[in-house]
This record gives sequence, structure tokens and C-alpha cells, in this order.
Amino acid sequence: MAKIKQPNTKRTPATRGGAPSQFSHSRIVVHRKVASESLRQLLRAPGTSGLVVVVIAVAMMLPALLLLLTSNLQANMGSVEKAAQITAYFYLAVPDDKALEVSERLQSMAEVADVDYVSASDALTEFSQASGLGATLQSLAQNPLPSALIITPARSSPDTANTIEQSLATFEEVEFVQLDYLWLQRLEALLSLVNQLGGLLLVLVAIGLIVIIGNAIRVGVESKREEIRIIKQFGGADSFIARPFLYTGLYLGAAGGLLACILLLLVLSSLGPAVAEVASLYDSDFQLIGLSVLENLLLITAAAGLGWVSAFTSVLRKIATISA
Amino acid sequence: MIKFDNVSMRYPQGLDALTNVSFEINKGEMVFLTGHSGAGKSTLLRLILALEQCSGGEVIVNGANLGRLPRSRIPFHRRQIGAVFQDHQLLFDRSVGANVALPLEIAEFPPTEVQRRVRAALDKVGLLNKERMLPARLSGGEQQRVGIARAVVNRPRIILADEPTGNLDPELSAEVMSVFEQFSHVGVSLLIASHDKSLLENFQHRTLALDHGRLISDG
Repeated sequence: MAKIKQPNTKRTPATRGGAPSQFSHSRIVVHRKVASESLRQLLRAPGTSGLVVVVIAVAMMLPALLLLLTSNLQANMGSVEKAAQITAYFYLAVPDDKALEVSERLQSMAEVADVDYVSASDALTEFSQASGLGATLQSLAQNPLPSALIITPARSSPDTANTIEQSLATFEEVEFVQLDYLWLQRLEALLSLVNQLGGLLLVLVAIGLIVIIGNAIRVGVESKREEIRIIKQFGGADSFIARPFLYTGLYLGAAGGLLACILLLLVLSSLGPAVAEVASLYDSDFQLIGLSVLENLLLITAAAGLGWVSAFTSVLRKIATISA
Repeated sequence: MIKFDNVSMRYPQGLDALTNVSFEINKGEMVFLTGHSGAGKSTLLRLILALEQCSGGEVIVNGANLGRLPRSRIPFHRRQIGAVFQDHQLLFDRSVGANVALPLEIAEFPPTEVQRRVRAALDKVGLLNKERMLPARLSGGEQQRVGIARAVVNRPRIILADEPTGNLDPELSAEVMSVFEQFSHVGVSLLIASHDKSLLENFQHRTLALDHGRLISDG
């Protein structure tokens, strides 16, 4: 038999609140051991943990998809907005030189990117060709179409459009200004609303996930009630007992986040051709763009964090209720 | 090391488990605690482990008044005590080695140190060859010895044992008691609850006798 040694009388982790420096390395080793043991426990019950992971993934994917679609649309709004232009129509009596003068003055404005002058005769020619009413139009005594300016704003904002509109109102030669911004403003407001709904949904999903993961882990704690009681009798602190459950929450969240990324990729790839077809009908090269590597990592990290938080909030309270 | 000053313990149901119990156990002292079933032996041991709180008097262990010990300090208090329970309290989904390692893992000892100490403790109780087995495959006596190995592995200052030889044959009982005596020789205080009269007669140590929660003799 081995020789009996003196009891621990110096300050060791067994007798004091924290671990001395020589134990800091071992604490990392212990964490590594607990982390791998928690992972093994999860893999031993793939059915139960798999179900929780799928629930997390679907719950995470829905708001993420909504936010991704609106961000895709918003990203493409820029090109649509650039195409939106302001058209200023002159009075019929305004001669070309006067109209060109207005055009030059507008061109000097910071808010204006480009100004195209369409003379009355050019407008008539274009209309004749496009309408097929060339002979009828030629029979008219005078050109009924006014000359016009097609103005492209430097920035695609309603404010810029309003500034340009106000400037045009100061020219007495201009009879009528047509703005193409109203529908864009409506679309922008709609996208902003959908974006806010996505954010709200994300918050609700986060709360739901905290409940789901917390409940799954609470069941795990309950099934280990006797073990927890014994560990407490030997001086296991609540934080020590909670450790494997916190890792479980972290793993469940991370796995759910990873699966959500994969599901997003699958959904976007399946929607891609249909979206491209619809876009082509509107002469657009609009394409759905998925999450970047960084955004994927962010989603997984957020899900893992959520898993940890839900485990933390549920487990410590539950463990505290189990007496040694 | 252990001081009971006029300690009383009344359970919420109104049962008086201990009444005005006073005694002191010094460093390196080995003391038997005896009495019939329900005399209050287990309650007394549970008070020392801070598993219960006394309803009157003071329990002082290693200089700390347990009644005033903050909840957060209780785990650290328990780590200074090696406990052997009557019903073994083993984790049946963990190997014998893992059960013995439990107090060391709680105290975050380095894995190499854990392994070394676990083997030494199992060697002391003659179970070194059963380190990897599950407790369910051991006999009652062997399970008792696993519990003893787990109690001593952390080299505690105090060892509390509730009927530690209850499931052991006389020869093994003598061996376990010899291990306990060796611990007392190196300064560990031991309180052994037992109603095994032959054990008390064979090992002449101070004996505290309880009857219906009252200390009726100390000597």
C-alpha cells in the first residue's frame, strides 16, 4: 500500500476561492476536457440534440433570409434610383437657344449629374418613329411637342430631387416638371418597413431560442439531478456544475447557426434562377447575393452566443435549486 | 478542528435530531460516533459538511463558524473534508477511477496529478486493478472502498465516515481502519460514525455516544 501523505494545509484550489497561478494552465486543460466531454455527450444522443439544432437553424434562417432579401433589394435600389430622372418641359414658344441656356445653368448645379436637351423637332422625330404616326404628324401645321430637359440627379435622394425641382421653378421658360421619385420613395419606405419587421422578428426569434435551448438544457440538468447532488457534497460549486451545460448550449447554438447558413445557401440557390428570370423581364441583371464569409461567421457566432446565454440563464438558477 | 457548541438541530417537521450537543475534536484525533439508528449520527455529520444548518448553537470547523459562512464559501469548506457515505453516493455512469477523481477535478488539479493521486488512493484500498470498471460491477464492499478512496484522495484535513465498514468483512474492515489510523497519524482529524460494537472494541479511540439526539457520553 502507498504511504499516507500529510493533508493539504497550504492554500490550494481545494481550500481557497480561486485557483493559484500553477493551476491556471490546468484550468485550461480542465475546460478543454469538459468541452470535449460535453461534445461527446451531445453526439451520444444525436436524435434529441439534432432536433434542437434543426429548430434553432430554421428559427435563425427565417429572419436572416428576410433581412438578406431586403438588403439585396436595397443594394439594387441604387442603380434603379440612378435611372430615375427629372423631366422639365418648356413652353412651346421657348426657342432652342433659351432652352440651352437653362440647360447650361442647370448643368452647373452640384445636385445635377447630367442634363440632356431634347429639342421639339427631335421629340417629334422620335415620337413619329415610335408611334408609327409619322404621316399624320407631318400633316400638322406646327409641332405640338415642347422641347424638354432630361435631368439626372447627382444623388438619388428625394432631397436632391426637390432642390432641382425648386431651381426649375425659378425659370419662367419651364412650364411643367415631372418627377419619377414617388414610386421609389414608396418602395424605399416599404423596404424599410420589411427591414424593421426582419429586425423585430430576429429579436422575437432570439427570445424564442433562449427559451428552447434553455428548456432543452434544463431537461438535461434534471436528468443529472442525483449526480449534481453528489458533486455538491464534494464541494462542487454551481459554476463547476454548470460548465458542461454551458458548453452544450454553446454547441447547440453554433450547430444551429451553421445549419442556418447552409439552409440559407440552399434557399438562395433554389430561388436564384426564378429571381433572375423575373429580373430579366424588367431588363435588370439583378441577382440574389448570399452572405459573405464574415457574415456567415457572424451568424454562427451570434447563434453560439445565444445558446450560451440561454444555458447560462436557465442552468444556474436550476442548479441553485438542487441541494446537496 | 471541529467544535460543536451547544448545537441543536430541529427539522422543519418538528423532529429534534440533536439537542444541545457540545464536543471538540482536535487535529489528528480519531473519534468514533456511536448510537442507535436515528440517534442523530448522520445529522451531526451533515452539519459538519454544511449540508444542513443547525437551528441552535455553533458549529466551528477549521476555525470557520458554519452558521456565518457565506453560501459562496460552502463548496470550498466541503473540499477540505473527505466524506464516506453509508450509501456510497457513487456516480454509476462513471468508472471507479473517475469517481475517485471527482474531488480532485472539482478542485481543478492538473490531470497528471489527478491520475497519480487516484492510483495511489485506489492502491490504499486495494482496488487499483478495478480503476476502469463501472461501480455497478463491484460488490457492496468494493463500492464502499471506492467511496473511501474518494474521501482520502484530496488529502483532506478532516475525514467523516458514516458506517464505513458496514459492508466489509472483518479482515477488510481492519484494513480500512488501519488506513484511517495512518491518516490520523499525519494530522488528519477523523470522525467515524458506527454502531459496530466489535469495531469500537477492537480500535480503542475516543467515542462520542448519542441517544435521541443528546450526547450521553464522551470518552
